[in-house]
Amino acid sequence: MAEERAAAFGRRSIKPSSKLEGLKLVVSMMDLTTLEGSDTPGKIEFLCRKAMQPLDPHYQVPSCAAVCVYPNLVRIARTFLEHSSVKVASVATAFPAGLMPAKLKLREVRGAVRDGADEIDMVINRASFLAGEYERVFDEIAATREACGTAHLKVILETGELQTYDNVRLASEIAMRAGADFIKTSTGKISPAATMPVTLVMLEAIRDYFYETGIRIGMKPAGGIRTAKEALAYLVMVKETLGDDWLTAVLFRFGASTLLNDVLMQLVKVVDANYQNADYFSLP
Amino acid sequence: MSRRKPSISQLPIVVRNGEANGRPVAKRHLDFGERWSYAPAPEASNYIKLRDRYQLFINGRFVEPKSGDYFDSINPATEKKLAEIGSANEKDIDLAVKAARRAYKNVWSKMPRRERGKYLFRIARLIQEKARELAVLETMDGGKTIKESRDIDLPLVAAHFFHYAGWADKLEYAFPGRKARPLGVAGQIIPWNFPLLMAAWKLAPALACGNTCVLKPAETTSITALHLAQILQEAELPDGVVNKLAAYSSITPISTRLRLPVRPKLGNESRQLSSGRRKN
Repeated sequence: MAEERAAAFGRRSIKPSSKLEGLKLVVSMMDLTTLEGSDTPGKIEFLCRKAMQPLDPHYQVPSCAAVCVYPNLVRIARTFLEHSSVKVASVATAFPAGLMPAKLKLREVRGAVRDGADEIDMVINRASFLAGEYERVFDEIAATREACGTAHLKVILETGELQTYDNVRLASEIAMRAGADFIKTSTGKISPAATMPVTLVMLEAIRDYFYETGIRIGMKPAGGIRTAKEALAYLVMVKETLGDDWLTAVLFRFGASTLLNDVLMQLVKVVDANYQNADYFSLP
Repeated sequence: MSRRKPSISQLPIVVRNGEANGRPVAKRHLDFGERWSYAPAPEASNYIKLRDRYQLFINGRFVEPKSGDYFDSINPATEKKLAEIGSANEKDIDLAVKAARRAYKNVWSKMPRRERGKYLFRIARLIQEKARELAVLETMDGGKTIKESRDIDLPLVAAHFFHYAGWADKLEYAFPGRKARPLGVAGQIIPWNFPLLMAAWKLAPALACGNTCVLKPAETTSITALHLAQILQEAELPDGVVNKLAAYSSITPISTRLRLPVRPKLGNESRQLSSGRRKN
């Protein structure tokens, strides 16, 4: 069912003017991410510059929502983005596996927040979750929530390791009730990462949680979304599942690195009516 | 934003039927507005030609109902009137059943099976040709999504007629060890949820076997059924083989044998009427 319905979202026809609007929306929702072992301060600065101004100003493209980096590099990103609207997000809690002593994980979170992270992307403990120790998963998220203070908390479920849609749904419920501001599909280190059916299951969990409590939880599919076309299909899915309130960077994000350039390329194509060579776009 | 103190013991796994863990869920509103409208409605309805009035289809012709009564059929999306539908009473039903009996005795049951198949093939092709128009009409009349009527219902309607058209001359192979034969006049009542598709389910096999039909569509979704009657006319189906009567009344007897119970408590009434009766 989820697969069939998710596939249908990819078949909506989108008129050109809406496409332009949609592509700009996608850019404004993007968490521009670099999570490589080879990340250097120079690369982070470059990424921040690109997040602030993705394209020549005459295209009127908004800046990205955030840059997402490792805790070590938060301070550099913070310094660079001090006066911009772009937020600094940091992965934490022993990303990507999440298998470290809980105390250390919390220290990592506190450190990232102290360095200036606005948003913390934590991973759940899949080993505990799959062993059925749901209370432990819940408690870890709740403790991280405490450690975040005022920073926003995004909880990565790593759906590629959860095996069933029921598990995804249950993990979503646990994360939301434990205090997540966002639920996020994947780390991007495991395949499959974000898929439409999995995202749909999570969106429906968010919807039901909203009906029950009135609290709006954000959603962030991450990893595996590489083309503008896919991104627009996700937007359609959000619009038709949760409605207009979620069509903003406050409640919906894309976690991506290569997606941005494809979106910019399509955007230039819609505005100028011809495709530009990929060489004219800076490296992601 | 205030957050409840979380605890796993309160964790509802699924919210269903407006209840979570047995507690009713307060109605909250999701805003499906115009913030990002990506495409207009894909099907236009302005080319659909509707008649002001739809009469009863008896003996191959559209005839005024004996009572002279008409009821309104509305578009549930706009609640505007689409057309007026003639309402059948006992006299009309008697006429229809008589016509169907006549057609059964004189024409349809005696017709070579292969010839019956040809008529059904012709009907199927005509439905295919007019599929888009019928789909839009189905959506206007019944309120189902165009996606369902266009992509599911109409292709299946045509497919059913094609399927049974193919069986018409091969009935001796259809049920091994049993002999399929025509039985008589079939009284058929169909609901509103799949108006044309249900009509196809009922009509096509009955006709393929050599029976004739008196069909009553749901009063809320009669228009497409009556358009299908027009198609039967175009296919030059012999008079009286299919008769269609819309009705908006309580129990209306077709004859001493066949009865058409119509709304409200349809299930109950038809059960009471049919209990203790022979079925053919």
